[in-house]
Amino acid sequence: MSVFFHLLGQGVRDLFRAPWSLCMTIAAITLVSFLGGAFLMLVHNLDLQIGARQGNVQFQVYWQPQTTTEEVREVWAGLSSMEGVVNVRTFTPDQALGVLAESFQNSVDMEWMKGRSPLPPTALVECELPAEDGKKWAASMVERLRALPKVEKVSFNPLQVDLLTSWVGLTRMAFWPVTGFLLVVVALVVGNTIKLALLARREELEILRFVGASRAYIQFPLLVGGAFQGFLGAGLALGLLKLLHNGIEEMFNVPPLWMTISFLPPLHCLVIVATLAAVGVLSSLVALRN
Amino acid sequence: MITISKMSYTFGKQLALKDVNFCMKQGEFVFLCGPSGAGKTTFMRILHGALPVQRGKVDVAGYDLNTLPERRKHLLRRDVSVVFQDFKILTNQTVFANVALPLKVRGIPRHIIEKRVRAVLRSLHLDHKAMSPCEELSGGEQQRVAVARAVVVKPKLLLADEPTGNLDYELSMRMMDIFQQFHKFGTSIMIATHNREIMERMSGARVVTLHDGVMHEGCVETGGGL
Ligand SMILES: Nc1ncnc2c1ncn2[C@@H]1O[C@H](COP(=O)(O)OP(=O)(O)OP(=O)(O)O)[C@@H](O)[C@H]1O
Ligand SMILES: [Mg+2]
Repeated sequence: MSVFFHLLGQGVRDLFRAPWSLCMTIAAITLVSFLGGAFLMLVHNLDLQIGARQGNVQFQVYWQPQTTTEEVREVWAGLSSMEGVVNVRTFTPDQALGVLAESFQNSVDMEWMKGRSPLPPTALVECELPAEDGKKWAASMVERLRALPKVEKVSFNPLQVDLLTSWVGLTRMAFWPVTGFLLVVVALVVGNTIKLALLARREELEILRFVGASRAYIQFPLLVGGAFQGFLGAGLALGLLKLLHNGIEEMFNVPPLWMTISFLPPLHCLVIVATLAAVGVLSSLVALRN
Repeated sequence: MITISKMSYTFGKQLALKDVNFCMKQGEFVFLCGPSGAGKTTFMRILHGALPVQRGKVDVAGYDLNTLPERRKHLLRRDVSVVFQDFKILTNQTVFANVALPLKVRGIPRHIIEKRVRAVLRSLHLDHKAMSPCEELSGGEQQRVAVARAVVVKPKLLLADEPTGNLDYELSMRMMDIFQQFHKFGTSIMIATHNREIMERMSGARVVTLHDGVMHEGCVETGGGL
């Protein structure tokens, strides 16, 4: 048992004997797994969006600009009890102004318009489409919304769902080729590092063999080295990805998208780390065989 | 301990060993002499599996080298220790680390390693250098490290290729005393050497001679050599 841990430590220590080569490898693995992770995050978020919006459709309702807040609040109260409605977001003229300002990243000062907002009260009504005759139902919904007091205009965009679906189709198609390609790159990089390490230590490994070291004794630390590189690279990449995520989390949380980017779930993170460690081991094995 | 019949070895076109027949019993002490280039090193390298058996049959310490696969060679090497002509020690590591290496790869506990290495270093007058890196040692000292590493595991068979090549008379004789001690405890020993003095010291030992890849029993005057 103590030999096992000794060899485990040996594998990691041996890597640090060539710190530059280790740095370059880790950098390459980090870069590649960062790209892969970012791609996974994209797929994950598209999936979430399609899951949330599948079969749903949004109606944007605009009231006449002169409508008073009291008048419109009364109507809003009744919106969510309408048939098929799953979610309602409402905006008073001032709130709409706030959202507009936010979408300009607050670079335009609209504070002075507070209370005199030229924007009308609006509502975003999200409805679940019935399984059949969705188009017809949507048309009738438009009619019903338009019939509400003081409503000026109702618009809805059935394309939104179609567009999202085609995006998801595209990423699904690209998923395995992209993942495969990135994994091959990682395998080549790790394999090459191990091969260089083998070359630099040829004499030492030969001596180990001559004094009676078993094949496992010699190879195990090298495999640990491969796993460690994959592990470290993947860990760093996930850290960077989290930083990126913090930066862009709220970026698309503006009209009309209203989507928060979510980070990869823990299971995905675990799979990424485990896969890269496994690729590290495999490519070390291949380097050893040759 | 060693049984060889009709063994030949060629490097490319060059014949290094020719139809060698050789037997060595357990506990025997054999000097292998012969001029430079006669094939002594080649012969020893085959015996511990560093070179493959090309032709003939070779059996060492109970292992049939004709069929022993690469992944089981470490078992042979745990019974057969070698002192290499070029030492093959890790020059960037300490004397202690080098001598401890064969014990470490056998998974022997640290405190036993410590005791055995110290004892061997003492008997080879290297104890004061235990913590020096080997690159700071003289040729003779490095040679003694190589010998210490070979004997520390108490091998069944010890193959020593010119183990006194870099030593003065005094140290050569001390080295022979150590070999003799191990021999008394049952280790079979084969020493390749040009050194007549050490052969005379062990006057009872068996001598075989390699000449141009051919093996003869006894000390054959060859005229050449070093
Ligand atoms: N790796 C090699 N490739 C080609 N020829 C070799 C190789 N090793 C040895 N030889 C040749 O085989 C012959 C025997 O060499 P070997 O090293 O066994 O001699 P030796 O008896 O040990 O000599 P010395 O006393 O100088 O150490 C020599 O002629 C040598 O040139
Ligand atoms: Mg030689």
